[in-house]
Amino acid sequence: MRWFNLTKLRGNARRLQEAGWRILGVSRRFARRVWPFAKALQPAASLLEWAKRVDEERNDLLSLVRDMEAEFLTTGAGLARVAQQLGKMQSVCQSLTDLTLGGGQDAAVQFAFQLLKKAEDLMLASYDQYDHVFATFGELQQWLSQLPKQHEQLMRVLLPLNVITTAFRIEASRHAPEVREVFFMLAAHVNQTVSEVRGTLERQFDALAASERMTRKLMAEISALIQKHRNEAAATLEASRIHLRALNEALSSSGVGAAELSHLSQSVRRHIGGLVMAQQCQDITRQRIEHVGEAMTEMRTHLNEVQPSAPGAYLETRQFIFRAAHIQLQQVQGVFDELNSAAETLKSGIQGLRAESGAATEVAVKIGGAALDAKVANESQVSIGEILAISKQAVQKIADILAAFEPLQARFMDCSSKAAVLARDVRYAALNAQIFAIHAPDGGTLEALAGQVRMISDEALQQVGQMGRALRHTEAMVNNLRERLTDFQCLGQAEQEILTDESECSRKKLSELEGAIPVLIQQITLQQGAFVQSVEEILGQVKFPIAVATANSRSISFFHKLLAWGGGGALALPADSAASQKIDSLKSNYTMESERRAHTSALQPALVAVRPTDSEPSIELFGELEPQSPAAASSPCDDLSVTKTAPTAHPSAPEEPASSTELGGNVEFF
Amino acid sequence: MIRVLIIDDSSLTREFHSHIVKDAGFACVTAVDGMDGLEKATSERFQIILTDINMQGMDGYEFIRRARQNPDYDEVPIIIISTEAKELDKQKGFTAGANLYLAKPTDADRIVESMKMLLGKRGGL
Repeated sequence: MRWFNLTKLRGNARRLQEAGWRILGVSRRFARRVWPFAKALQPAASLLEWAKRVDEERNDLLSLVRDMEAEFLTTGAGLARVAQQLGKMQSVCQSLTDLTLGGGQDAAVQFAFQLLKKAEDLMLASYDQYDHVFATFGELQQWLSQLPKQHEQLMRVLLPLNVITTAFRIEASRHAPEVREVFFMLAAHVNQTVSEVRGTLERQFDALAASERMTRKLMAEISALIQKHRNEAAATLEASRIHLRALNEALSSSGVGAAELSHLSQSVRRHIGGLVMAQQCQDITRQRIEHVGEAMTEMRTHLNEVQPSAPGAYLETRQFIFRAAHIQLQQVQGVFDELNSAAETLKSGIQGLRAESGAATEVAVKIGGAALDAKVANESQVSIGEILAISKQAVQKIADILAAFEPLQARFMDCSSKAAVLARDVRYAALNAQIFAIHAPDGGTLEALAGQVRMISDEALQQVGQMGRALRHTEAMVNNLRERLTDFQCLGQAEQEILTDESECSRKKLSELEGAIPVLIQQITLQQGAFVQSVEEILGQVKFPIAVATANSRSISFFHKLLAWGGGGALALPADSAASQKIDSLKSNYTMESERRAHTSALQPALVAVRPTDSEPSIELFGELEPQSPAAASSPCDDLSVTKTAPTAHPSAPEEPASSTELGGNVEFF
Repeated sequence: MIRVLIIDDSSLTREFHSHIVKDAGFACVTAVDGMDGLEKATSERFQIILTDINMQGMDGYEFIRRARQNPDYDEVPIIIISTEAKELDKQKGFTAGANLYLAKPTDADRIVESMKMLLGKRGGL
């Protein structure tokens, strides 16, 4: 049973194996019949698939350019708006800077500082005058201290006159009555005069001493007052300076902030300039991509129109696609190199813009924080008012001093003149006595006595003369002082009036400043806010760098796949084939060279006279232009050319030589 | 006010140049290609023209050549602003009758300076 089962199993396996071989044979036969059909369908599907993919890639590339243009138009408008905002902000910042930092004479704080300085100078000049008054008064006191001694000496000189007049009377009594009467009268006159001299001089000197005491007292009072005044003035000046300094610091801080913001604006302008420069890549990119697009349309048409069943057509198509893709890959690679570079510039510009925008916010906060405190401006104004009041008092005190010296000066004149008159009277009396004595019989003794009286009177006159000189000197001193003080008073009053006017002007300026600065700061804050918002909007709109990176990767990858499908250029394309001619057509028609050729042919007649200079980078034309310097020729910004009219060109011939220096080293004039 | 004709097929460039020109205090009109530029130039007078080269329809060289045939534009300064920066392109521009050649990208200051210089030379400013 078991043996039977084993034999049966072996028989089944053999049948199974035979059935397998039969199936395999049928499959092979079927495959041999179906394969040619499958083989014919595969290239057609592949060609259609690649045509579709080429079309898609073309659309993607053109879409990239359109999106880029739309984005640049939007961001360009945004950048223009930012530039306008910056212009306004810069203008307001400039106004704030002018108000706070610049403006020289017109700047309110500088004006106030100058006013303060003038008031201080006036006060110092007043103090100089006071010092001079005190010095003169000290000298005057020295002179006046000599007067009592001179007075005493005069009295001593006059003292013998009493004895002499007595002797006169005794001697006269021995003479005839008419002689006696005369000499008695003379003696009485001398006695009376001496008595008057004594009395008058006593009174005058007492009055002088009293005046001097009064003046000294007044001067002491004035001196104390002036010292107090000085201390007050110093304190007030210091307070004024502190107020003005605080005001100045607040203003400076705002001004520095405004200047910083203005500087930032310039920096932002540079970034905007960079962004705009980067955006200009769009123009050339658009042209190139359009060329690539047109070439890809040709490629797609070729792929669609090819008959894969035709002998060699499939391979030739792959070769055509390989070569065409190779050309376009180079074009696309070039475009993406430029776009990547523009994207880098754009990214860097955007980063710069964002950084400047952040910095601008910080500075605006700083400017706002340092906004002018109205209290500070008010305190400055009050301080200036106080200083002016003090300087006014200082000038007024000069008048007080002049008034104090008035009685003293009058006393000097009176004292001096009266003493001289009396001394002269004594001398006249002595002379008369001498004359009478000469004519009187036995008048020798009388004559001698009269001579003694004359000598004493001469001596008294000398003494009075000395006193008079001293008094006149002191009088001159007081007069000089008076003149000087009067002059100063006039000048001081005039200066005071100017200062009062200027103080009003300063008050107005400070008030204007107080009013204008908060407005300007508010404007700056608003404009800075709008600027930051605009920058943020622009930054939000910028998709270009990411779009370029994505498209770059996709497009290059696509062309590489297309190249790989094209067979890697292993097979040669017959030069006379239609595909080869199409390649030549693609090369010539869908690169920028085609435009050049079109332009050249359009301008051919005029260009005949132009020597070719493609090999030479110089911008010198037609041998007529001034040679360019090597430095200018190698200038990296060799993108600007102005030239004189070519001899074969239109008739607006030039009169002036090329002025390369006006616009840069790469200028050619026409 | 000085009137400027801006010819460029790129709307972005037209916008950019318009902004620069207006910002500098000039008035401007834009055209999308040489033909459009010629039509606008004949319908109104311009004191200076900025033109691109590579444009569909009529290119910049052809526009300049034709503009120069018009006595009204015989002396009017024409500035080429083009992406083409080869020496031969410049020669072609000057041969056609341009006064100045600027290669893109170019900054606003350079464009304005160039315009002012050319206008100044002809007493336009």
